[in-house]
Amino acid sequence: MSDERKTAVIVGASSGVGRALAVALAAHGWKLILSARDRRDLDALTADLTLRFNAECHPIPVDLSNRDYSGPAFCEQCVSALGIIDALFYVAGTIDDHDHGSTDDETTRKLADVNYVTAIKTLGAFAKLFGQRGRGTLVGFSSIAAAAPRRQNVVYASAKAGLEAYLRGLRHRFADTSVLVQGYALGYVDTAMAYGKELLLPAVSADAVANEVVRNLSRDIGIKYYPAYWWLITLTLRLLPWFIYKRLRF
Amino acid sequence: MKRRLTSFDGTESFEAECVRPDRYRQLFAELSSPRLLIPRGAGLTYCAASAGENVVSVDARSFNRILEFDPTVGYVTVEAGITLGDLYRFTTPRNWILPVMPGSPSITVGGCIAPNIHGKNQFKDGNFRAVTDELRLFHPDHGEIVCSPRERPDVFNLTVGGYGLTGFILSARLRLQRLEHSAFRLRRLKVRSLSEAAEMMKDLANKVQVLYSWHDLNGSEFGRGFVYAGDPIESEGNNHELRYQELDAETRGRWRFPMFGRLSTRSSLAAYALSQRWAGEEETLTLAQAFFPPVGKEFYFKLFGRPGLREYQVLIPHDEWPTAVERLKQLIVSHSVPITLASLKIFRGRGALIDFEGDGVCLTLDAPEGRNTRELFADLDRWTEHAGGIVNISKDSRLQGSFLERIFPEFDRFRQQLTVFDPNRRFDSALRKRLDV
Repeated sequence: MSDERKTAVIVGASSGVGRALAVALAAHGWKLILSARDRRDLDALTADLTLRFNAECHPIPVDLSNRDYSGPAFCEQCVSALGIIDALFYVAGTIDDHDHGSTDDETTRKLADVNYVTAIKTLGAFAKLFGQRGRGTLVGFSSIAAAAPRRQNVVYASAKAGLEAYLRGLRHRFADTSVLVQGYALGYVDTAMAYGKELLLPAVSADAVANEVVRNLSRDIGIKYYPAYWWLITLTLRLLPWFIYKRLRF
Repeated sequence: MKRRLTSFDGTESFEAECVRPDRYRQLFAELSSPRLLIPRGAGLTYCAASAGENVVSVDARSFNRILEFDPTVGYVTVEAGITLGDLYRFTTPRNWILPVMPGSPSITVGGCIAPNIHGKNQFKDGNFRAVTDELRLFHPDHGEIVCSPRERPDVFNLTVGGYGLTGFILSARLRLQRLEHSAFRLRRLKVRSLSEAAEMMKDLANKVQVLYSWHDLNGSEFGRGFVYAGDPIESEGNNHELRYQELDAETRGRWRFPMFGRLSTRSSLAAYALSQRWAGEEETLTLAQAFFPPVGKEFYFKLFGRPGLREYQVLIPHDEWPTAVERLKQLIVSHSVPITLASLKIFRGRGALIDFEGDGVCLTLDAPEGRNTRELFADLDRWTEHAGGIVNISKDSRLQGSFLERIFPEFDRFRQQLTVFDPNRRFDSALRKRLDV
């Protein structure tokens, strides 16, 4: 895919990988819709990308944990702002320190909504748009937690596993078209989610993830582990006998 | 998260609570917590100004965006977590430059405002206050405050040079200078003593844009060295490029043992002096080399190893300088401390509160951390007081409030104003405790 004046929507653009992706795409000349919950973050990022890269950015605040969130309505809003859209990056995600699998309904709903329900509502709406046009790129972000759930992230891991399954299904649906469906199962990334956590391996920077995503934009990669060594680690974890796995504290 | 934070000189270390918000909602939540807070940038201040026991250090570096740029008059508004390196990369291709910059491109704008830093052109462009046009500050008891020399000047003056104790700087509007040249011609002038250097620099101060000196204070020829005088020139090619290695307190102190002893210091400084003589009387520097001279020489700080270094930076009035130099020589010789760096700058202007600003000769000394160095520096405190000088608080982890009260005429005023502005002492640091303000 040539980067020349391509257009993209980034959901979860205000921080971490989303923000790094916005910077990387703006540096490559993309026109962007930047979406996140808070207007102030989006305005600051819009100003920065406009000044640094002369990028065309449209901030669209959206609360992904809102029950009334509508994927098609959001998609329509994006089309009104940009016209043709070439790619959607759904980067938003949330974790909770008390995600033991039996938290209160509101926390469970929020974890499930932001990490899965809203993700597939959004990806679904853009999948329809790209399907009608016959081209476009859908990128979702999962986690190594999907392959190796732990006691600390039960709902989060299940939501990300659901998202991965959704992306695989969507990729199969568009297999014979020019619509690309990509997923990233991210390992430790140096973002607010990982900050302060004791990690077994070093965290990669959000910029490194963003550069990897931009590099792969025209490739049919399916679900890709990043950094790649996590593929081997998660495979090993999945193959571990239960009597060992249950003893792991990671 | 709990993290060990160390002052850049390596002599103060704390197990501190750190947070790194990356969205405004998260930032305001952290800043509104009942805990004691202190903003933190790159952590390059020599003393523990952005950390302390039972104090939450709020990392500002995710707030590093450029918010406004006016190329007609040369103003840029930035979030305070942006580094000077990033700002340089933005402004120079647009033919503007921030005229007041310390040597390190890793330092954040907030980290320049908090100690009201100076560059190698203080005599011409002043301290960082001179380029700061307006600040947007957040304090949990006051909310968001816009302050400038025109609006709430009391808060502005307390914040610039206030070591982060008045709140978290959300954004700063900075005054840029039009870039009318693409390189610097650096003249290297040999001098035999500190007195000769100061005289020469006083004369040059009206004629050049960058001015500093380097001296060897360890051998028999005490004070021999070079005065460096930089003039802007036109040069072909891209002179905007800036590449540098990130340096923080952790990487600085990674080597366990110090490399600077008396013998190694003398031989390395002799080698440096020789290299400078061989380099000739003139060379052309890129803009990046001229504005960030320590880039590429980061290993110097690593040579102090884990024990760290001590820096003494003092401003002595011109009238007192000739006498003060004689006494300085006696002190350094009698203490036998290896002086790894000695440098002069010329200062002009008038400081307020606890600013390191005024008319005189600025002397910087580096030495490896140790008992002898601390004893020398204690004697230098008495020397400074006798000469009517002031010290740079941000450079020295030893300085106590009782000493600073005697040398800064407005020290008590700073203390009072800070107490009035922040009576609940929401912002705190190891530095604040040591200064007793």
